[in-house]
Amino acid sequence: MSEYQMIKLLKYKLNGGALYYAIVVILLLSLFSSGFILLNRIWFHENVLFLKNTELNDNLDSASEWLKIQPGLVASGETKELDIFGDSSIVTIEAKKWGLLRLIKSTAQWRSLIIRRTSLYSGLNNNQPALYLADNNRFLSLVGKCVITGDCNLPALGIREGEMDGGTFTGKKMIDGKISQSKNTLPELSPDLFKPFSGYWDKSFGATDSIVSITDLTRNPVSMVSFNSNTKVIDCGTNVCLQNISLSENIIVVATDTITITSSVHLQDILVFANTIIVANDVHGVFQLFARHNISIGENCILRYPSFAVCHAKQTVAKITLGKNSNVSGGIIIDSDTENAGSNRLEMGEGTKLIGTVYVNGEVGFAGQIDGSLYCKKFYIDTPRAYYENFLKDAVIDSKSTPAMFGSFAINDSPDKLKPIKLCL
Amino acid sequence: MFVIKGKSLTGGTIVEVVTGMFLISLGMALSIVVFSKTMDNSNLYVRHQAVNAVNELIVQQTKAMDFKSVENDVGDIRITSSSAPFAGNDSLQIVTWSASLISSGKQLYIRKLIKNAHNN
Repeated sequence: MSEYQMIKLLKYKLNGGALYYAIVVILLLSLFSSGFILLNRIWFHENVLFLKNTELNDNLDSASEWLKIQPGLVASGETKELDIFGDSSIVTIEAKKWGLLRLIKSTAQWRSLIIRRTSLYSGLNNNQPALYLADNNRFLSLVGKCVITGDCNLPALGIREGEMDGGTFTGKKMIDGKISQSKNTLPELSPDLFKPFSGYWDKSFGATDSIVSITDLTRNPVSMVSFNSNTKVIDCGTNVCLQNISLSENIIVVATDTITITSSVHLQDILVFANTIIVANDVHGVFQLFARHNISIGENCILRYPSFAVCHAKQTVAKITLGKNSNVSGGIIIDSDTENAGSNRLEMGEGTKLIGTVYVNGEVGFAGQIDGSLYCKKFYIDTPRAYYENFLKDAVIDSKSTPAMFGSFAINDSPDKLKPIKLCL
Repeated sequence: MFVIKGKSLTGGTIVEVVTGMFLISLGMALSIVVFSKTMDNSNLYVRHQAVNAVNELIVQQTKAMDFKSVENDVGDIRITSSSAPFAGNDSLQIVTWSASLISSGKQLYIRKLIKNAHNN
């Protein structure tokens, strides 16, 4: 086609018909295409989010599984980034203590999608004995229907059937487990167990703590603080009687002298620090008690799992008393820095039930049942007729039962494994 | 040549028709590509089936604490599980579950978890 013909062709005025038709059709098709592109984008985004959400949750589960079997992976007070599968599946783990429990915060992230979990774990050591009785050159004498299930560390003189008030041993087997010889002292309690919290007894609070006075309890009788926020410390002055309040999670109640907890109080996962702690009759809840001198738990109290009672004296004698039919599920520690540790005492009322590890660097007036492990220097039974040393009457100690496997604390602060307790908000 | 009422088409009309045909074909091609891509990406039913089958197998194996290799066919989907030792700890293993289309081999869903076969 010559140049002249081309110019002539383009000079024609275009009739709208065919082109308008084409434009309308292409407009419709464009609308359809745009719709499909949008739909595709939405479905793809939803699909990717679903897959990534699953992957991040799986990474957190995997990190938890790893940490459960290797608690030393992230020590208390540490923050570590773990590449779970070696393919940049990064999970950040921050571990710290919450009383005798371990608080683990784990985070996994993909672009703007962040998944966080905060959980409480307890510690458990393999092959914990049912009973570790320090060697004080006395027999362990059993009277009545005693049942001891699990391995035991006993004095060199060993175990025998005893006689008390005309009664003798009526059980089937004295000990259902292996017997090893104990030393004259108990396995040492790690000082790191209380280290992060020992300041609270002297009101040396943490740098990030949010400290409020007792008047806050009057203004906010119901308070719940997430473990993802700063710890709320309620400074109650010298003495306080807690009643008609509800405190949950990341809260520490402190008083220099005495804290009394009444049955109208609802406590969940909080820590309580004082010289003397008195728990009135019929109190139910989940909390950890830390006293310097004395803890007295009344009758019919149920301190559900995971609850702990710790009495750690500096210069004085440490003592915990449990009223009739009271339960403490979690663990008990009684220890002191004095040389006269033998005077520390755990007094168990009739029908009491303890779950977890019970460590008494002193003597135990045993009555009731322990599902877990008991470490003590000696037993005593004080009757109107006589005072019996290293006698156990109708005692049940079982380190193989299901509650005993719940997990408690590790005496050396290096548990062999962690047990997940709860997922926190 | 295309003839209307005995007259030959003018140059302008030919340009219009050609342009129109080109635009329509372009639009149709785009629509078809996007539609097929969308359908391929969604395939909701098959994906849903794959997710359910994999999750069900994970629950079964976790309950039984047995993470042996498995290969199951569910319709057109093949569900497989395999385990490998975990470098961080001898007691643990990495278990991978996946679902793929038997016909095309396309992977639909995959999950990977660290498991303790001796969970206690």
